[in-house]
Amino acid sequence: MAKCGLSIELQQVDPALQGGDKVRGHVRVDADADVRCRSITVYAGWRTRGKGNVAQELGPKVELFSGDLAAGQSMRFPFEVDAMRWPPSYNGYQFSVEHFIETTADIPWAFDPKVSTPIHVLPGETRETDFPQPIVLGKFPQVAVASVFSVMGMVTMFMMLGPNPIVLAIAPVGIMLVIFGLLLTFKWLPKMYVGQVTYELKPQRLCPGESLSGSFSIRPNRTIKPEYIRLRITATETCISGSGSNAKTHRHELFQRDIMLADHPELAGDKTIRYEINTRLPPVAAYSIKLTSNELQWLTELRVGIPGLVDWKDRRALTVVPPSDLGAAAKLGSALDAAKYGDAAGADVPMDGYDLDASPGAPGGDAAITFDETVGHIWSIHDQPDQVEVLVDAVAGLPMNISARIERRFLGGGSDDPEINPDEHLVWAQYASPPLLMSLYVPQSMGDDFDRAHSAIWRGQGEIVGWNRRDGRLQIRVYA
Amino acid sequence: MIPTTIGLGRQFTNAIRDRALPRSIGSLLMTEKSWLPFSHWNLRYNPFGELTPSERAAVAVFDVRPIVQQLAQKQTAVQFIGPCGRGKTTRLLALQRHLAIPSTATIYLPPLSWAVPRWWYKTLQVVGAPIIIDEAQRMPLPVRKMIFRRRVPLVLGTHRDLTGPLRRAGYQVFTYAVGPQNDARHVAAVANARLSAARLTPAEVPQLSIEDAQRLVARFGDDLREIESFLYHQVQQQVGCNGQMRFVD
Repeated sequence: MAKCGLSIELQQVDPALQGGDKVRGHVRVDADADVRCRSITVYAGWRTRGKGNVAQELGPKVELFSGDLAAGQSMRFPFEVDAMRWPPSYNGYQFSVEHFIETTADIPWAFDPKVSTPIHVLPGETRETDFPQPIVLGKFPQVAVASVFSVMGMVTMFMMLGPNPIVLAIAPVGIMLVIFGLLLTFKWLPKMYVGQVTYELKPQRLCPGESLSGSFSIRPNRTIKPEYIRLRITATETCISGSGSNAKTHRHELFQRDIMLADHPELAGDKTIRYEINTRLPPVAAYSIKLTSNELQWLTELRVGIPGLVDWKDRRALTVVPPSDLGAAAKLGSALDAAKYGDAAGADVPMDGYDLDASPGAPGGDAAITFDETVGHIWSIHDQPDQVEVLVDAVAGLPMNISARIERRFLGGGSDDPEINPDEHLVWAQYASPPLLMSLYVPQSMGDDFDRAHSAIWRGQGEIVGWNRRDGRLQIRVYA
Repeated sequence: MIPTTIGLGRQFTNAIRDRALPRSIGSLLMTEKSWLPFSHWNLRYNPFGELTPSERAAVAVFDVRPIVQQLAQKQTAVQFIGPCGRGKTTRLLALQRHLAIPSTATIYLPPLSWAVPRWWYKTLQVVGAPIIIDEAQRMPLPVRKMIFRRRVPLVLGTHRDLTGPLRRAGYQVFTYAVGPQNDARHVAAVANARLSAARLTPAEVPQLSIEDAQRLVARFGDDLREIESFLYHQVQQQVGCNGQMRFVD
C-alpha cells in the first residue's frame, strides 16, 4: 500500500495542443502516513497501446519536492512540462499512441505511487528523422528470397549427400542455377513481357487529403493481353508482440484503394500507351510512423497482371506527414475511418472526390453530425440533464434526417408545451434503439400523415430545438 | 460549471467545435478525453493489448504470499512450468514487484541465448537473492550448474522440469504447473483486472461476466494469451459503437 496519494490537475488544456507545447498544472500529494519522499517528479511522455510491444518515450523529469511528509498532510505543486514533440496522438486499430502527463513519488522500501493523465497532442514541428526513410522495395525481397533459397538448398544437399567432392563441386553451380531461376521467374520474364515501362508517382511525401498524381507508360515488344493494370494504395499497421521464438507479427490494413488503370486491355506491340493516375489520400490523421515494434506504413504498388507468369510490379513507399497548418491537422478524421475512403477494385477516384471538411458520405461539415449519432450521445448521458442541455444546445438548428417510431398525436393546441407553434401538432415519438423519447412539432399540413403512422417508423427532415427536462424528451421541429 | 463526463466521437466534436461554440463548450469537448475511442466506456485504451512489465505485474491475478514464504526457507527453488501464454512470465513479474527489494535480480533469456557466450556471461553476472530467471530452460548446462551452485533462492519460469538438476544441487524444489488453474473464474478476474487498470476516471468500467468467461474457456482452453488477443479484437471492433460492451458474440 502506498503511503501517499498523488493526483494531477491540469490547467485548461488547449484543444489544439501541439507537440512541444507547454502543459501546466498542479500535482497534489496527500500523505496517508509519515513518509520520507526521495523525490516527487512529473514528466510528459508517450506510450503505444495495442497489439505490439509497448514503445515509449519519457520527457525530462521535473522534480517538485524532496523531503518528509507528515500523516494527513496535503501539498500542491505547480508544474510546467513540454508535451513530447513526435509522434502525435494516434488512434489506430493495432496500436495507438497515447500522450500523458505522469507523476511519481520515490519512496524508500514501498511501492512508488504513480499517476498519469492522458492528453491529446496534435503534430507540432516535425523533423526529417521522425519519418521512416523510404526504401526501394522492389529489389530487397528478391535478393532476400534468392539468398534464403540458395542457403537452404546448399544445407539440404550437404545433409542428404554429405560433404563429398562431387557435392562441393555441384553446390556452387546449383546455387547459381537457383538464383538464375528466381531472377528469371520474378524479374526478367515479367520485364520482358511488359517491355519498356515508365512509371512516375508524385509526390512521395505528402499530407493526408493531398492529391497523388503520376503516369504509367507501357510499350510492349509485341501485342500483349494483361489481366489488369492496377495501382493499389495501402496504409498498414504492423506490430510485433513478444520476442524471439514467441514473437508474433500483427498486421492490419487501415486503408486500401485499388485504382484500376485498365481491365483486360489489349496492348499493341511497339506502341506506347499512357495511363494517368490521379487520386487523393484519405483525410485522416494516419501519418507514417515507425516506432519500436509498432509501425504505420503507406505503400503504393503498381501491378500488371500477367496470365501464367509472375506479375510485374513496382512498389514504392509514401511518406505521409502532418499538414503544416494546425487547423487542417485538427480537422482530419480518425485513422479508424480510413477504410471508409477506400474503394473497391475498378473504381477510379476523381481529383475532387473528397470534401476534406466532411465525413465520408456527408455533403457538408455540419451534416457530419447525424441524428443517430446525436441520439446515441444523448442517451449515454440522459440521466445527467445539465450535460444533455449542453449537448442539445450545441446541435440545435442543424438539419438532420430524423427517424422516429410514432406513438401518439395531439391535436393542435392540446398541449402546454411552450415550444409548440399555434400552427403545429404535437406528436410523441420514440427512437427505436436506444429508446429515447421525443416530441415532434409537426406542421398542420402533415398532421394526417402522423395519424396514419401510429406505431410505424417515420422518416423525414427536421431539426433539434431543445430538451424537455421534465419529461426527458428531445424536442424536434419537423420540416414541411 | 463545466460538466465532466461526456465522451463524444471525434467527428462529432470537430463538427460542434467548428460551429464556433462558446469557449466553455469547446473546452468541455476536448478536456473530457473525447479523442479517446473508448472514453464512453470510461476506458483510456483497449485493455487487452500489450502492457509494460510493471503494468503486467500490477494486473496479475496471483497470490504471491505462499511463494514468498517458501522463498524464505533455506536453499529453495520455485519453478513455474507450463506452455506459452498461460501466465508464467506474469507470475514472475508479480513476484518481482512484490519482493521489491534491491537484492532481487531478474533476467529473461531470449531464444538461442544458450548458444551466445555474451548471454552466458550476462547470466553469470546476475547477482541477487532471490534470482528470478524467465525461460530458465535456455540456460546451457555449465551456466546452469554455476548458477545452482550459488545456493541462493531461485524463481524459475520454464517449459522443462528442472527438478532433477535443482535437487542434485541441494535445492528444495516447489513446482507449480501454470495453466490448469485458468478456469472461467480466473479468466474473468484477469480480464476485469485489465479493464480496471485501463480505467479513465474512478467511475465504473465494463466487466467480463463468468458466463462470457466460460464461453472463452470453452473456445480457447487455458491459453490466456489467445483469450486476451480475442478480446482485444472484440473491443477494437466496437470503436464508435454505443451501448454495452460485448465481449463474446
